[in-house]
Amino acid sequence: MTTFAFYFFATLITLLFLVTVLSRNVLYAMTALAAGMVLISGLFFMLDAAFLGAVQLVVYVGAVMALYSFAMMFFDANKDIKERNGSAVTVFLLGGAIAVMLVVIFTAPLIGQGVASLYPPAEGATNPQAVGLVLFTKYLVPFEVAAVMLLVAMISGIILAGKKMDFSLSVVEATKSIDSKTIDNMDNTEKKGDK
Amino acid sequence: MLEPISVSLESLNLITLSPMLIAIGGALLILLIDLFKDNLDKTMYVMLTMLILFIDIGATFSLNINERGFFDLMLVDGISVVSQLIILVTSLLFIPLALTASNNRFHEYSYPEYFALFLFMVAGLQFMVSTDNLILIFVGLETASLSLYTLIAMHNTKGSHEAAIKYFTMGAMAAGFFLMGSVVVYATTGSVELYEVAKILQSQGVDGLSSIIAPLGGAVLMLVAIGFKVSLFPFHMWTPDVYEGSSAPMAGYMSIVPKIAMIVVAMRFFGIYINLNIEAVSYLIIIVSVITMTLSNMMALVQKDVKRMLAYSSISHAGFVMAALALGTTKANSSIFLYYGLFMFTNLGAFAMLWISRHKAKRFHGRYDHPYEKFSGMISAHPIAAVIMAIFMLSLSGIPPFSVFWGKLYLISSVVDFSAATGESKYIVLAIIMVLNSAVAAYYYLKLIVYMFLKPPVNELNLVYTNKSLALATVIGFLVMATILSIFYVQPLMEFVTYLVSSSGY
Repeated sequence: MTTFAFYFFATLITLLFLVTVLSRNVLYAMTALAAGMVLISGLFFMLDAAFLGAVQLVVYVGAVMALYSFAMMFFDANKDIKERNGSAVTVFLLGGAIAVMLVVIFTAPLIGQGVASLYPPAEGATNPQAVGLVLFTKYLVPFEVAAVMLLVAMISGIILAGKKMDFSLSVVEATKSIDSKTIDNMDNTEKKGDK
Repeated sequence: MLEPISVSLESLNLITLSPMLIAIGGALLILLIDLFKDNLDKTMYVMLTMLILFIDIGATFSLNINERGFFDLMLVDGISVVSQLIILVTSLLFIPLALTASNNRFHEYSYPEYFALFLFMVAGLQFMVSTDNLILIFVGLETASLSLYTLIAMHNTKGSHEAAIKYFTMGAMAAGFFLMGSVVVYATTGSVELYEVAKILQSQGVDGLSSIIAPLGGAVLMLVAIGFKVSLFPFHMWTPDVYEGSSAPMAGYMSIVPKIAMIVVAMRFFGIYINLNIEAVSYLIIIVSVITMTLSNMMALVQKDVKRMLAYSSISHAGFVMAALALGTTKANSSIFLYYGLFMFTNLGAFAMLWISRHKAKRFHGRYDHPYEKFSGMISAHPIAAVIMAIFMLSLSGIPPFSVFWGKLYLISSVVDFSAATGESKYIVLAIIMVLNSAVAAYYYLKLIVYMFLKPPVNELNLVYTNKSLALATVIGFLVMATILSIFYVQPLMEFVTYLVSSSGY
């Protein structure tokens, strides 16, 4: 039964990701990608990795794909994409060679010897509990650094999208100090000009 | 129900976290001050940042070497301490460059967040060098990189936006390759901790083809990631554009600090392979480094802009250092840190000299800020500035007794020593290539000196040092003294670095 389920999921995932790569329509590609992500979570559930399966659903399908689709809605999503490929033979050879190489590299450890995990999960812990045990003891520091990283990303986003960036002190010679009021005034005059 | 876990506080050895916590705490303090009191002058933030960096240096010095902490996640060894010191001292010299002549001349310094992000970046880099867990290395690397992209973009010119986007795209690629490399290592050994990885690879042996493919693949993927960040051939293409777009001190900073952090990671990771005598990896690094230094020297010859020339020169210096990394001897590893410790003063000084002469309008060239013509005849208009710039150029080209000469000397002597120790003559060839490259590099550094001292000035446009202030002059004066007087401190510095590096077995 698990073997059948594995091949079922694997075939569907491969097909959906092929659609993602080959389709010229952004919406098709994105939908296929989202569906593939959902099916990957099925593989995780099969391996008793319930936590990872849920994370896959919440983060990839829920958050990342939603962001993708929001971003894509800014463009005309129904238009076909014209890809600019150079020589088809070169693309095929280089892409194929890299793909084969990566497959060999990633499967070599499996063919080699059986790899044992150095830190087996605690006795009697279910999968989410085991993840929690490791995450909040040994990996507490990376967890907290990831929090700092998110703070950095948030500050960066607010600054770079902020109004103050519309006006560059590095280029324009500032005769007096620029405060928020002057920038507001400038914005108003621009809006009047638009009308 | 599961048993509750109890961990004693002593076993965590929290002192190993103290340098990073100081930097993160300082950054949060700056954010909070900005929250409660608007429109404070940037001088206050500059001084506060310098104070935090000073405390951070103190905390780094007070660490005990060769200790682990926090479930063996943190690792404070010699190379961690020496690289943290290089990072912090460079930051300490970089931050006062914000004190330009008049306020509001530059966009990035009008944000208090600039200094907070800077401290977050320093903390990320410190995490990166003081651990051998691939997960923490990655998280620290990404924290530092995200801050750095923003710091570049905050200069807010067309060029700096382009630079930030280019660096971001390349950084994303590097992150992908780093993760793939880590996955292969984890799949082969079942661990992401490099000391465990070394043990397992040692015990299972790496003779058969199937047992060598995966570790080699991991090393290649990791070399790609490291190549992007250290700007090695063929992953160096972003460097000149990014340096050209970002502000001059930021470019100088980027050519030292993120690179030394990544070189430490490379030293930890490739050290495993070199200790196992997997020659393919060391040959790979040597080939990449030889192409890097030769090709970037050729490219630097034809540049029309001094900043782009310095960018290519920094690529070539990175290639130079990577050649020593492939040897894995104590002398080679300590000469890398000595090289960067000395290169830091000169390179930051050269970029700072460009910084004080930056104008808001591009007066000399349609595209470039600092074309060679800008500096022609400088000796008659600004004799002292011309002499200082000439000293930095002579030092970069490795002419005694200026600082980079000593770095090059120790680096090449470590290659020659290695050749004598192993009895293989091909390392002599490597040393000769390195010397030849230094000779080629002298041409483009001297070209600037020729422009400054021998060419007539461009008449109608005068070079004006609009950004010059007492603070900047002090920093540059310190950098010049450090460059000229290196002959007096190079011996104790070398002993200190060798002590730290050898004490942790590198």
